[in-house]
Amino acid sequence: MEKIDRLEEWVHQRMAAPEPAAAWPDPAAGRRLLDRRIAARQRPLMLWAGAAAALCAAVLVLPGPRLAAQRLWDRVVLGRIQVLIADLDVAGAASGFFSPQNLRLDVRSASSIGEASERAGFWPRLPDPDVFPGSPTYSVADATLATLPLRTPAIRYLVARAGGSPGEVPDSWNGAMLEVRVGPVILADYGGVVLLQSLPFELVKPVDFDLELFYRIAFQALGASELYARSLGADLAVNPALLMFMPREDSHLVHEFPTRSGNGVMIGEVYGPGSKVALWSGSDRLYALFSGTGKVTSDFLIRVANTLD
Amino acid sequence: MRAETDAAVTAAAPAESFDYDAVFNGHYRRIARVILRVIQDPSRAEELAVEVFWKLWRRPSAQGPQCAGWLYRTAVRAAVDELRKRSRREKYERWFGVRGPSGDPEAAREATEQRTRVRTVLAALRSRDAQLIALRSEGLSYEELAEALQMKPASVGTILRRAHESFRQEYIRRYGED
Repeated sequence: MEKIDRLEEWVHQRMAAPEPAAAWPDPAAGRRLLDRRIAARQRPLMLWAGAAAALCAAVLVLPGPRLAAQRLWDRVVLGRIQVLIADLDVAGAASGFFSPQNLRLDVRSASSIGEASERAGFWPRLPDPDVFPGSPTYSVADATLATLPLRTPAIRYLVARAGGSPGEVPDSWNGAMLEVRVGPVILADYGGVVLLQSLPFELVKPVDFDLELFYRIAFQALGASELYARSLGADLAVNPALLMFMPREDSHLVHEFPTRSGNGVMIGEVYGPGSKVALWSGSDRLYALFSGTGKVTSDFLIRVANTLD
Repeated sequence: MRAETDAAVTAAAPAESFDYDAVFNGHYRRIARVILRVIQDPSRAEELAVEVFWKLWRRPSAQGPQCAGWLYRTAVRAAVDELRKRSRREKYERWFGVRGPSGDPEAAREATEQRTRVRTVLAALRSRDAQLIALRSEGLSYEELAEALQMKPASVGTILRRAHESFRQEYIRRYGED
């Protein structure tokens, strides 16, 4: 039976001293503190979440006039994504200097899978209905372009701060523009779980731009040893990837998982509590599978991912 | 329709979602006061209360109809942990003479002493006993205590009484019958 006896009263008298003021604490002040805390965490997450969305990009056939200009440009297919871990401030800065930040997609609904494929220029693959039943609704994000203007002084600063050799960053990079051609993307929405897919996207760079050096310097900016950065840079030059930068404090949110054709990356809390995204490369396209809540487990997303080529 | 990439993802969020604001508004004050009961430091109690809600924000598995129990459990554990850290620190500070004699006026000294006594006694108790006492002092019912500390409801009365007895014995052992 629930009652307050003398013993409990005796304890309460001591525990109650001193009573806080009736108005204490101020919930509005607490909420401001909390919002600042959440915002401080969301900002870096959003930086690379934006880059994650870029994974759902495809390369449109360039219009004629543009093709004519390609003599001065190299086009490099980026078929995968590379997640790089760094301290919070470095990750934020590096994301701005080594990843395109201004990606915007036009998203328009499509009445059927046929219309979606016609607009996107490829036919979407769908999960095995035994694993993920349901009829999705479709939309298509039109092609767009993300740009990355290079700023030599800023990159040199990052490299120097990480203990690397800033002199390696060429003067010629300053003001150079890298472009990532993205879209169209087909989105299949299964009522809260959204599958996005695209053909591999494409990096357009000046013809004399040293991609291996670019990757090497990015790794150096994150504090990798010169030897290690050199090795990774060489690997990535052969098999280029979009770089995503993630703050070290969130590294526990990133996990690799096996796919049919290699490894994918599962990232938690991309857009808030419970949300997660699985990113992986298929045989001829890139996929992202988003879940907005914690109601879908990572294991389920992985099972779905493994029903797709 | 022009939309940022975010919009495509936001659209994936279900209509039925956890009402974080309502939970914060409904529990923040009480959570802070529970913590204050233990650590007796208002500004630190507010910080720890925010920390508790921050953890809730990050932990989807705790978000749901049973989140109140999780909040109180997390809050009182954080408070007891904080108390023990402080006790250790104060002990070392005393050993190394970091803290000089207090220059507080008499009234403030008495209040400080009472707070110190409560903190000292709670820090000396078993963690679960300290948690129970703190939550009960903030007015949680047996049912709420059971949920918060994941105990069988039928056992709460007995365990709480033992916790109170432990508190009283420890208090008297240290400070006598005041």
